[in-house]
Amino acid sequence: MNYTAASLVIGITLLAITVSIAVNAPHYMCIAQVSLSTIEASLRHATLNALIAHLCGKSVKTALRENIEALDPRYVPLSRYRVVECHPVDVSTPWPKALLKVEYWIALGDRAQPYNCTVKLEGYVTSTSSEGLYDVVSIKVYDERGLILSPELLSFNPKPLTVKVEDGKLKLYYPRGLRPSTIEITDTRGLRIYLST
Amino acid sequence: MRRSLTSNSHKIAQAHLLDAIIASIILMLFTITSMAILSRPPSFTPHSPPDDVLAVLAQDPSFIKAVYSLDSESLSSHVKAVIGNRPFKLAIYNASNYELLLRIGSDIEGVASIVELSGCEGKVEPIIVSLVVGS
Repeated sequence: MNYTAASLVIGITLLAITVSIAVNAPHYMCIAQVSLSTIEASLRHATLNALIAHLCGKSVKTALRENIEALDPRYVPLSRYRVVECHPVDVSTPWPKALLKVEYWIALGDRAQPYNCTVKLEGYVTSTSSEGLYDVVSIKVYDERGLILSPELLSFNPKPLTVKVEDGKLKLYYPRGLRPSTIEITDTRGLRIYLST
Repeated sequence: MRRSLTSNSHKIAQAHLLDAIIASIILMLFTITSMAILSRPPSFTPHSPPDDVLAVLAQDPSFIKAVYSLDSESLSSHVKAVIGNRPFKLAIYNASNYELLLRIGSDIEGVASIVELSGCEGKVEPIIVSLVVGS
């Protein structure tokens, strides 16, 4: 082996060692943080999930406690909370409103930041009429952000033939003579209300 | 004859000397390059944590459904709808035992935003969603 071959071998060996060290060098560990906005998002979701459980028959206090206890205090530091308002109080009765309002106190160092969280779905029938071959039920539906005017965000049971938006109302078209006495409305989150026609 | 042999051995010696010089230069270059690479930390851009992005996503019912159904395509679409074509890494962990359930996106580093979800459809099933967004 001459000098050139030897230096080539040593050079390649050094290169391989360098690449190996560079590839296996320790990288920065990924760190994480939670902020007020993500804590509030967690609490909002817990409130919603508790209300859905309540609509399925569970006591609201139990449902809320289970959801809060499931959250890790390192990610959702909570001092205390209280239920301000809840509908329906009796899930066996059809109510035109599903609502849960909770006041949370988020622990931030030595102080507690209040956070009022409301999740709701409510609505009412504005009118019923007949148009040609159809019975029409006009309704207004609200969630905590305001009036819902996109039929895609709601599902109806029984399903109407068509849904139109007119004058800030949703108009549900059913076949003439087949207008239901109660309409079940569910939003994309799973909240459910019943409207009597 | 003897003069010719002497001249030949001189030429061989010169070639060996040149060889040794070139080898030394190559070795020195490798050593300097290696030291330069190893002396500096790996490239790292401390992206700011995407708290607002994750907070917005966590309020979207279809995102929550995608999280609980571990639908990677839907999750990717939701994240890209908010951040565009920036690289991201989204990971979902079981909050009970920190088992990694799903990881999508690029292998980027940065400060992750964390949101914990307590459950879905009224059931209590806590999971942790972690998101890192690159620039």
